[in-house]
Amino acid sequence: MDKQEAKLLLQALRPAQLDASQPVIAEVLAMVEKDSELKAWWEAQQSFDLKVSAKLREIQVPDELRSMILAGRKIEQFRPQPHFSWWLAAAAAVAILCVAGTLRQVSLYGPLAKNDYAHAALTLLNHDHPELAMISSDHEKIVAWLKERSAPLGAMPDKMASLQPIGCQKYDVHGHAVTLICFVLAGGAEAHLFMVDKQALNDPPPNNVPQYNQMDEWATASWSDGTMTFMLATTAGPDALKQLL
Amino acid sequence: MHSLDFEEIVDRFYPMLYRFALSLARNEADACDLTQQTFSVWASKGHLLRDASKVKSWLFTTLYREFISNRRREMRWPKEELSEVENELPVALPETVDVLESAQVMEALQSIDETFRAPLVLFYLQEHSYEEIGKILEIPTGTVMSRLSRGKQKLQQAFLRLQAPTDSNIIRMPMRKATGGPLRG
Repeated sequence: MDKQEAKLLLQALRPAQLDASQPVIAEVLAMVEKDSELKAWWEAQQSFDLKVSAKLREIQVPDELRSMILAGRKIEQFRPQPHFSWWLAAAAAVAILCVAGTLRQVSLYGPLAKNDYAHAALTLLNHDHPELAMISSDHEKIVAWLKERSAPLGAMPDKMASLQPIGCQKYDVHGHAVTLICFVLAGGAEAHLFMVDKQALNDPPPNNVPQYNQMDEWATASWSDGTMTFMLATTAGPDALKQLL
Repeated sequence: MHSLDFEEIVDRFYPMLYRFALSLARNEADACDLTQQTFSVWASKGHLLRDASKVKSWLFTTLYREFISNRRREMRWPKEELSEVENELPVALPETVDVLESAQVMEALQSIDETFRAPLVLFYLQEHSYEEIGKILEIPTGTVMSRLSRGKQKLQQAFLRLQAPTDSNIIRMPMRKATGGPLRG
């Protein structure tokens, strides 16, 4: 490395990056120690950089910007759900009915068959990339957000309460309000908990006895508790669900 | 995965994002819009980011892309490699900064060509290494270094211009009429 290359590297470094365990950094620092002109040049450069940084941090941010960002977020949350999810959900439900050869009339606002609901709900997960209106790792904030929107909310299994949430969303599935809360599992995979009023299904699963199922990539567990029906889904396999229930 | 909620992310990053936006957009209203746009994109797509440690880089990258997109003209970065940098890197003059207000420092940064301005501001915000700057701006690290070098030279020149007396910043003393004494009516 010649002196010109050393200067080029030095002027791009900040004190926090002076990791002498990196050979190239160690080499340039050794050059600085041996070359008084280079040392003086770099000291002036660092002083200049620190002063410019300090001035830049003094730039005032408009007082109202923070509230504008947060207000904008609230407006976004009240936007209707994209048609994309709705039509995909509807298409998935119809396709399943046709394949099964049991073409039944599905009322948009009447109770749903458990399987139709499950397929519609799983489509919302968009291959593990659901659209979440609320992003938070705080259980209390998630519950408050859902309550504020009168979203279906039941008592979660105790083991799930210790999982780190990612966020939540309130969906409309065939005229029924559905809550989704997403969690991170111990291994880094995600689990998605749907909650819907028990009356939305014409054949809800039994109380407190999880029914396990596999639908394509999704392992699911469904159960009812009081007035609420739950479905937990993950791509991490049925054992991951059984550990939680 | 996210270990922070939306409001926490806003509180942590919006001042720095605004300052970066102000350097790019050159006016407060557009800088506010850019910052808001960035968080709007985060609100709708942020959950796709699996690694919470990358939130900061994601936000700066998104803001920069929004800026480019808003401008609606294709950017073609000139290729610059290490050999193309001027042969001599001049000695920096820290004292040139002392006499300037923060708004003047921003003004000087805003006067520099955007090619050099974006990496320079990211460097001076002290939020990113030169490797991260390269990822945000989608340019090689060698190019980041050369642009930082050229950008610093241009910044220093801009500081000197701000301090040089010009017709507009010379305070002219009012001319006095040569009179022999007070006029009396």
